[in-house]
Amino acid sequence: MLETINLSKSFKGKKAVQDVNLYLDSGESVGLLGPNGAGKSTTISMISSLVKPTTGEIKLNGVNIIQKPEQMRKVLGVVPQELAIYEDLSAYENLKFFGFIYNLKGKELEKSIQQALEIVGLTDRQKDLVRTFSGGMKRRVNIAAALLHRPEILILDEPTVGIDPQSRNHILETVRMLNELNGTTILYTSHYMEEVEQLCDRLYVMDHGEIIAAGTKGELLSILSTEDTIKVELSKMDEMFIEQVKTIEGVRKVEASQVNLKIIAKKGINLVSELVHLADQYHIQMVNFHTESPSLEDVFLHLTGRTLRD
Amino acid sequence: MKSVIWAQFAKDKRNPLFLLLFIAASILATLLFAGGIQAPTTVAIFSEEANAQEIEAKWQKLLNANDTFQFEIVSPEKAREDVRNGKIDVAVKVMEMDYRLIAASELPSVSFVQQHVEKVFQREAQIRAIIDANGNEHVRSEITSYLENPPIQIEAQGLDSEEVPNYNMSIQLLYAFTFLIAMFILGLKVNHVTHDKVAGIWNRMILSPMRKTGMYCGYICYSFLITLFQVIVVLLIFKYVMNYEVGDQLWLVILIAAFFIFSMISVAMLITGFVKTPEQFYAIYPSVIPLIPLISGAYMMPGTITNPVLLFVADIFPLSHAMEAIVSVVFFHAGLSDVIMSLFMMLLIGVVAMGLGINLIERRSS
Amino acid sequence: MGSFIKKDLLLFWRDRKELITVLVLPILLVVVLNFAFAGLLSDNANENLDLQLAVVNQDNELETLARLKEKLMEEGSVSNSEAEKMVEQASQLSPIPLLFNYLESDELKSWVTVHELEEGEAVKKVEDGEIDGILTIPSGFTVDSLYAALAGEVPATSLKFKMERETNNNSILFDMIHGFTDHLNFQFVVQEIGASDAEVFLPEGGFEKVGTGESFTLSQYFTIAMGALFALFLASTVATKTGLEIRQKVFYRIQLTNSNPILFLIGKMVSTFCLAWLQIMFVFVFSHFILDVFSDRTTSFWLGVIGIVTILSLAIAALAAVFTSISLRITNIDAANGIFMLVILFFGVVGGNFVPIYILPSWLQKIGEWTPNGSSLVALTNWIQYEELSSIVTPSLFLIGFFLLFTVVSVAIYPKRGKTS
Repeated sequence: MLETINLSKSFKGKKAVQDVNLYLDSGESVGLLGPNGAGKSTTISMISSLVKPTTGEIKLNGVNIIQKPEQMRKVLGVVPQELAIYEDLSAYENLKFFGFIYNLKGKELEKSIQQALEIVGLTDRQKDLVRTFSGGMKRRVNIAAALLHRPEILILDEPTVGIDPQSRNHILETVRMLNELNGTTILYTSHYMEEVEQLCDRLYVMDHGEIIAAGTKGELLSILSTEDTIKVELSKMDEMFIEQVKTIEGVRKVEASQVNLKIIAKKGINLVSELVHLADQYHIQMVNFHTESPSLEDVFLHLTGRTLRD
Repeated sequence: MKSVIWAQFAKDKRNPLFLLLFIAASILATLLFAGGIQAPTTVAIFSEEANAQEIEAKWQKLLNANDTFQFEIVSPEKAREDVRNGKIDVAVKVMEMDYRLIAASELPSVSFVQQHVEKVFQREAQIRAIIDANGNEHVRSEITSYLENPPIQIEAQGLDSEEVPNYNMSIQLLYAFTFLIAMFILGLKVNHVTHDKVAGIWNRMILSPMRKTGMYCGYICYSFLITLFQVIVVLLIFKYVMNYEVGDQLWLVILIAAFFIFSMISVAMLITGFVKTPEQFYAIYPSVIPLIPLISGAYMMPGTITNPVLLFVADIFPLSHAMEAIVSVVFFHAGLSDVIMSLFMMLLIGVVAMGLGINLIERRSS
Repeated sequence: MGSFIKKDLLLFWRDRKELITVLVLPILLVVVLNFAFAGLLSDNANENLDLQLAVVNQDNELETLARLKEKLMEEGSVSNSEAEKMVEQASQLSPIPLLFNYLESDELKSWVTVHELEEGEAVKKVEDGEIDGILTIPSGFTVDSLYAALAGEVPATSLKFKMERETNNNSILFDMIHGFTDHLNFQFVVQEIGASDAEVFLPEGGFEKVGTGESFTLSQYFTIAMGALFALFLASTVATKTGLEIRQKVFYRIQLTNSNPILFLIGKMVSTFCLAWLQIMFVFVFSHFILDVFSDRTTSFWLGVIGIVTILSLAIAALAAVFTSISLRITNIDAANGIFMLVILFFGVVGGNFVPIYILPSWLQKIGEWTPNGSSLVALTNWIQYEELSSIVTPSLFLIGFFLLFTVVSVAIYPKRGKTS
């Protein structure tokens, strides 16, 4: 239902986002993954019509909406990264205000507020000033404020930044529930791999303003599918032994630390017998041995040469 | 629009102290200054002659005939010390028939005192001469009574009325201070735009179906209502509680105040357009605001400022037009038609500044 | 500690628009004020005036003396010969020619323009703002006033000064004409008593300077008043920046490092000190170059100024620390700023930075010395005039006292961990 075509944005000649193509199907939960400064926030600001793209198109149900953002705004709920709520108002008053600006009135408004409060689990504390809330609770009010007009698409920009794991789980659960029970389409931005893995059906990986990979989790992992990672624990370490391992056909990389070896090798070659043979020659015993599947973290490392939290 | 007003009000009703403080400040400032202006300036006199006491008493009586200055006898040491330390601008050393002014500065107050003292001494010298020539002390009372009803008289009148239009500096100051504080309040309120911008609430509103005009109107209306509330409360207190003569046409005064507030909100909006954060606003706004009444001549008698450049600068700000209208209405019984030009000027400033300000704010956010 | 100071100074440096405002605004103000008040309130104020006075003469001068004689004989029952003698005597003091002589004298010519007009025309010109005021000489004025002078009665007619509204120009015109009539009346008394040949010893008058001090000018007042006033504003600006640090959560981070709270405050104080010092010196130096405020002063004079500015900056820095502690405690940044503004306005007013303090009630003047800006004003005023160390010791001690007091207060009200807003 939502699609961007070659979306780009430059600030004072500096390219922040370049040729971003992504789409969201109705009811999907899509993650946008990337380190800080990758251009995620700019991308979703463009999608939510806060920032005008330098070039490119944004289509909602096939219609370009850059010139008429009202249509987009109607179906969209945005949870900004910052706490865009009044600290000097109570949770209830905040929601009432944000409901007002979406033209909700009377019973309908009251119902929406109570529903939103229930979703984020703040029904009991609604009369308290937001100022008195914990960081996690403030984040939840921040989310609730975007739910009042029952958006079809919910964009969350790093909604878990800087809060404790418990609150974080609560928020992730809330998002999952919105997606699964209400059928809300989710675009979830984060630099936490686990969150995106846990929540999203599909994901895009951004770095330096560009999308460098896209697909389901499985598809992304298969980027690394031509390689296996084998971890070996040895009884002792021997330089010569490592040199020999490196010469085995199909081995691409060997990392050694103390008595542990990490070997990255072409998929499908039979390393075990070669290793056992070599170990025998050097009078080394293999204490532990296992093959690891790559993680999304590895995919990112592979694609960008850096980890997500750089 | 209503929603913005509602939210701003909901926030402020938890901090009513803030507004009360400002209302109290406008009243206090008026009391302090207006009172200070009315009280005569005290000038020290002393004598170092042999019969000092006698001389001091004689001149004190003669000098105090006029109520602009209050001449008080002090010791020569104290007078010199006080002048020296800047506690008083001028002291007068009196002799039998002559005087010296003791001053350390060239401040304007010194020459005012000088004019008065010179006149009194010259007159006394003439009287003394007559007495000496006649050898008769009774001449003095004769002269005094003659001068009480002199043959040539002059009276001041209004253009078409017998009475002189009763201009009153304290009342003008009352309005000047009320407006000064009003400028502070409305500035703080307009600054909520920058507040909500840095908090991200502004973006949330943009994403809502609410129109931009509605958003701006909300902030403007709220600032307007709160400030107008302050002005009306202050005026009512002065009129009904403290019995000041704030003018008979209160509705017209409030209308002028309303135009002024709108116009000044626009100027504040323009300043908001130049800054990124609420803190920057606080660095600039409070240091600019106290200048406006100064250059607009709000603390001085109308017509005191004659420098054309300064008059031009003052005309750019709404305060000069507001004060002109207020002075006409309060002291000279002008009607709506007489102040329509001032109202129009404030409206014009308001519209232009608002246009520029909103334009700048919008340009910043894109 | 160095890192705190560096951080605060850098924060200012990055925000150059604000920095420039803080540095340039006071200078601008000094220039504007000089501009506004130059000439207006100084000794030769009248030279800059250009007053327009309309004179409406309705008195028929030609038959005056004949009518006066008639009146004296009819109403005063004076004999013909006596009346003739009196008229002869009075003709020397005929008020209207004397008045015109006065109005057209060289003394007034340069700043008063007299227009002889008909009443209707004059009123119209006043309404159009072309003319400041109208002096009307009513019909029969000369006869009435001369008769009054001779018969010792209250005159039936008087001169009328008409104005649309009371303005500065009008007051000057009225005072001027009133001064002249006073003078004329006195001449009548003298004639009445018959002592016109008495020898008058006019007072010499003049000034006696205090000590050997330099005189203190309005430009100098504006310079030191604005310098100190804007230093006060700076204190609140620095404190307001703390709001930014809270918003950006930097303050939490700083608290978490377990740094001594004093370090945070010292950072604020040192940066305020540097800025305030720069700002005030800027005002002094630029005012001097633009307006020649302190011409021909010695190096030791400037050293003294630097000394006073330095301790004033210390007091301001400590005030900024108090404001910072307050802004860490008060939940609402607007409320905090409102309080700062009111405090500064109060300090500014009673300290004599907005208006010379002698227009304030005396109890307020006394409080004025108990503000940092007020003390510095006293110190600088004395130093500009006498350049004597002894004259600035007391206010300097006051300033140091403020520095210590404010520092202690700021530390005392600095929030304990977990209590910030």
